[in-house]
Amino acid sequence: MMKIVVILFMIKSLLYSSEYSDVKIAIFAKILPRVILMSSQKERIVDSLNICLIRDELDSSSAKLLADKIYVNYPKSLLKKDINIESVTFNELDKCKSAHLLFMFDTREELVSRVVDFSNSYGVLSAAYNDNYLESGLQLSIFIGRKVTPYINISAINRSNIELDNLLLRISKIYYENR
Amino acid sequence: MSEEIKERFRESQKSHATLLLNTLSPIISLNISLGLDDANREYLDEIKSQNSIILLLQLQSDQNKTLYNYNNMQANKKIIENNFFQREIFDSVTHAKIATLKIYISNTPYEVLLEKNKQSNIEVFAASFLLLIIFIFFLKREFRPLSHLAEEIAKYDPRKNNFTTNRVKRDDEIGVIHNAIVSMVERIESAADENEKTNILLAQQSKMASLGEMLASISHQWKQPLSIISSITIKLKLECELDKLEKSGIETSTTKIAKQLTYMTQTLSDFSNFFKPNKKITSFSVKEAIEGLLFIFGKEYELKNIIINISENRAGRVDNYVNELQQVVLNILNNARDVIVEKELENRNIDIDIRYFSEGVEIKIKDYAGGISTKYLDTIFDAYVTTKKEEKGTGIGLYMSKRLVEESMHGNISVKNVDGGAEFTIILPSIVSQGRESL
Repeated sequence: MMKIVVILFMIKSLLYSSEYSDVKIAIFAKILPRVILMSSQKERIVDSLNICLIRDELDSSSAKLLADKIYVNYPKSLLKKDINIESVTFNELDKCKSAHLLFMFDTREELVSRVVDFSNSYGVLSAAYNDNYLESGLQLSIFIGRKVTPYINISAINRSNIELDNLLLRISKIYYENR
Repeated sequence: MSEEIKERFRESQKSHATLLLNTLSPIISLNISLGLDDANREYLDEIKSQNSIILLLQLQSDQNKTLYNYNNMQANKKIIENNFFQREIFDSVTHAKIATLKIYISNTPYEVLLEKNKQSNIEVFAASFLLLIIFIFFLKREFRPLSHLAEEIAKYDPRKNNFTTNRVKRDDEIGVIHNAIVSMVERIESAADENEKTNILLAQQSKMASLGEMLASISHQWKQPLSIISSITIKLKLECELDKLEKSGIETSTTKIAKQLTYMTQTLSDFSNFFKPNKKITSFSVKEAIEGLLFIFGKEYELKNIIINISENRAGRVDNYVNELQQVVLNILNNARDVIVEKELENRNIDIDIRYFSEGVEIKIKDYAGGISTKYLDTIFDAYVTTKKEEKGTGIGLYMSKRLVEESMHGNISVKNVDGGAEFTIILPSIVSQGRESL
């Protein structure tokens, strides 16, 4: 009986354990709202900054963790604007139409394309935990080398007609699709 | 180095620091805001390595937590308070203060620059000074002939003929100038010789003119005695023809003839004495000298109704050349006489005023003949300047008079127009006064 309990626990742990770094999540928690304010998305803001976290069912806890950290960093809103965070699955992507930024957790390749298309269709900033997704056309991630820096797919940014603050570009690592 | 340049260095440093802070602040602000502390460290490391003049670079969070610290102040010899710069870092979105950036800029590059500048200034000055010395040396050497020439010229007196410098064989400017000056001196000497010859000629002409005057005067003086002698001889001849000639009559006639001959001889002697060169200084009364002159030539003036009035402030004497003075006075009187006669003036007075002073005498000779035309006033004593018609004047008289007064008698002669006439002023010093008081 005890063995069955242990095996079930291990299966649950393997299935639901987070593969996301807390440090990286913390960095995203700081960066994401500011990136909205340092982009042309700022002009679309009415009452609140809307961030849509797109994830698989299994990553809901990680999404919640990220949302919590964002609220810890910016507890009393940012620039007098409330921060609304919506955590949705890839199937619920339509709920993110009014979002200013889409943040995508790890998923299957074909779903990445859907998010990219959605982002381009609605002119929404797109960011991903995994910087490999920049290759697929996502706009923003973070690069971890000797130091941590924002990682920006400048071609994708240009395609979506979104403008970014020069200062942000200056401190960021730039990803060029054609290189 | 001037304070202005130092101040510019300081301003430059300040600008550098301000530029650095302006560049660093937004990036640091964003990195802190995004929690990218590593990025900030790397960025500040890069800034520090690119700017060797930064000796201190500190970033402190708002909670006084040190986010970055670079301190190389021990390499600095002295701390200059003005070289500390500080900037507060604000969140670009919330505008809240999030950190403070401190920076210290070293003076060393500027000091090195200043030192190099000072060193180069000294070198330039030393080189310039040396070049100047060399330049002056060569300049002096080049100009030495001219310098020698200048000394020669300063000492040169055409009358002494003491110019000894010869021409040089140089084609440069110095040689040209040198030879030009030597040539000029040669011309001066030549002109001086010519001038001397001219003066001799003038003197001879003057003497001839005086001789003419003398002969005319003798002729005039002799007319009366010759007439008397002629009458006596005619009377003697008639008495002889009429056989009425008596011994007593002969004696009376010969006595009369002898008397007239004595008078003629005396007249000749007086003229002879007057024109005889006398280079002996004597003590004489100016009034008596002029009266003696008028004794000889007075008839000339009496016949033309010219009245010469002589006055003196006191009886006095002066030590000088009497004959020269008489010649000068005679010359002035003759000029006045000629003008008066030519213009047929009613006022025929000539006033001679003699005033003795402690060291000499002043003689003013004034006529009322209209004065000298202003165009002649400045040149009246020059040779060949005459106001008379060509056949009457030679232009030598006043020229010789001035030379006699100034060169022989060491006096001064001048003329001006006063009260409708010309007034000549002769000032004569007592030129031998040793052992006796000047009159």
